[in-house]
Amino acid sequence: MDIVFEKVEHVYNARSPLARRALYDVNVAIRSGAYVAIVGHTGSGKSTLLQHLNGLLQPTSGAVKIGQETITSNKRPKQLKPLRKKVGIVFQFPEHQLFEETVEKDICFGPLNFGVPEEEAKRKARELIQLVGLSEDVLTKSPFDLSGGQMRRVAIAGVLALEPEVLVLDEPTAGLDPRGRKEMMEMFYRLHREKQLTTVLVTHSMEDAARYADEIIVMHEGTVWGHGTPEEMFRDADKLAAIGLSVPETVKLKQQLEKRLGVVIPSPCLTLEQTVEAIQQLFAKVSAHE
Amino acid sequence: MSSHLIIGQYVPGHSVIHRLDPRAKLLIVFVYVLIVFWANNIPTYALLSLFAVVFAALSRIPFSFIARGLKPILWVILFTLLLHLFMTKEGDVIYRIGALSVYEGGIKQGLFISLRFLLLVLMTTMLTLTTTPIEVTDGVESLLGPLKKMRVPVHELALMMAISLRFIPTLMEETEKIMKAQAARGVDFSGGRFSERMKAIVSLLVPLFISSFKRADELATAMEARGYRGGEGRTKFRQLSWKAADTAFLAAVALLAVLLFLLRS
Repeated sequence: MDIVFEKVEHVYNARSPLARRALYDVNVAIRSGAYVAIVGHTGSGKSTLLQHLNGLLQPTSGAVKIGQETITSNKRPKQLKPLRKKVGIVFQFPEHQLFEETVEKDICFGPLNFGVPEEEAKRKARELIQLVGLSEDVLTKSPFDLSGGQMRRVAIAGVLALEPEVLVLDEPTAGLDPRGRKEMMEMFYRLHREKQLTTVLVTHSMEDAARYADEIIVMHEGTVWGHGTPEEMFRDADKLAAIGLSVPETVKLKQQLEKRLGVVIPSPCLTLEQTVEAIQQLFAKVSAHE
Repeated sequence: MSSHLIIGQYVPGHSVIHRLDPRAKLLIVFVYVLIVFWANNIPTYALLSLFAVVFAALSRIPFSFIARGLKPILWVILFTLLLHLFMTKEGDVIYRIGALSVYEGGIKQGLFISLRFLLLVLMTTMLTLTTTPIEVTDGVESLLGPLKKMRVPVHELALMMAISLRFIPTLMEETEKIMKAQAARGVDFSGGRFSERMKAIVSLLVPLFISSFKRADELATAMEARGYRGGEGRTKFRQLSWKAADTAFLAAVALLAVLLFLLRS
């Protein structure tokens, strides 16, 4: 599903003394099937933007087009429910939303809300629990007997159970150890490709944005500061630094090397593998010269 | 929704009322709330209203703001008024609608009771509008100090109060977050059948309880890690100081009480 933001503005507590403008003049398009990372400093409007993706928030002015659906300020909340099935949001610390007696019931909760028959929901739960890397006997346990990382996987399965076309991830790896982070990010990437999802990742990790995203949207003080491929967005480290963001470590290394050695490294160096390869080529070139 | 309710909200300021000792304000409001029930004729109600209005004016909080905050209780007041209007059977009949008749006493009684209600809410609202929750807590702890001799755990009670007040905004934030997360899973908090609504509430309350217990546990650990051992021998960071203005205001309430006692019929 294509998602288009047109002149979106969002004001919290509009028409009250506590009014606060969180978004303004947001014009951005997310094409169907893309993996898009949204980065930005704390308070840049990332979370507000994300909640527009399934109608949890409605724009104060402007419009958000999601597939066939257009959300404006006067859309009635009742009409937004079907949209929530198509756009699944994994919030920060999703394990906080678990509440059922068993893992199975919790995963089935979303599908049942959307009228999926119970048998089918259960079948889906069995499939998903393995997809998120847990064994089937977890299904009968209480979610509160699991470890933090397992709880998160269960919560994610609960969102995936809606079979969304768009998957929105709000810092899904916050608070996980490095290995857990990597596993989880790889899992989302696999899902993205296998299920042809449109994935929107909100993250603080420039490394993750560089590695997985096709496009990066940079938010700054409530509006879109930049939008492009990772290579484009990370070209100018100083400009990003000015708004409190950095480039990935590998890009930093590449830029330092280029500056110190006076060479041009053609590779964008977005991942560790790319960087290693680029440096090997550089060495090869130097030794060939000698 | 929350923007209409100003009871319990604090409005920062530097007025005379803001700077009063919280103990003085607590005593003023406490005494006022008690003597409101003495009033039973026009002079006494006039005096009470005058005091409340002057008190509110001195706080320099915009009157429109206070008025807006009082709006939600207007319905309760209106209901009380109507109830008294039709139920009190004293004095002459003034108006008759079918089987219901309005008596003179009913009008008087209705107006008085409504005014009494309004004054009560106004004065207690003034307390919270001009006093931070932490000041209120300090004030309560200090005022209840003598009870310590009777083994009442005053410090612990005050601490409980401070912690509850502190976590109200956190809890509201948490509620909103969980509601959104469940809404994203297809929960409809605004409508649906009764059983669906119950399920929706359960999906909100269970996570809320769990996170609250967890937070309480973490808070206790954090307090112990910083050497908290309870009230015994603990000094205060915020010292309360009783000033001349506090005595003056308290004297004014005392005078009000005396006048009320003399003027009531």
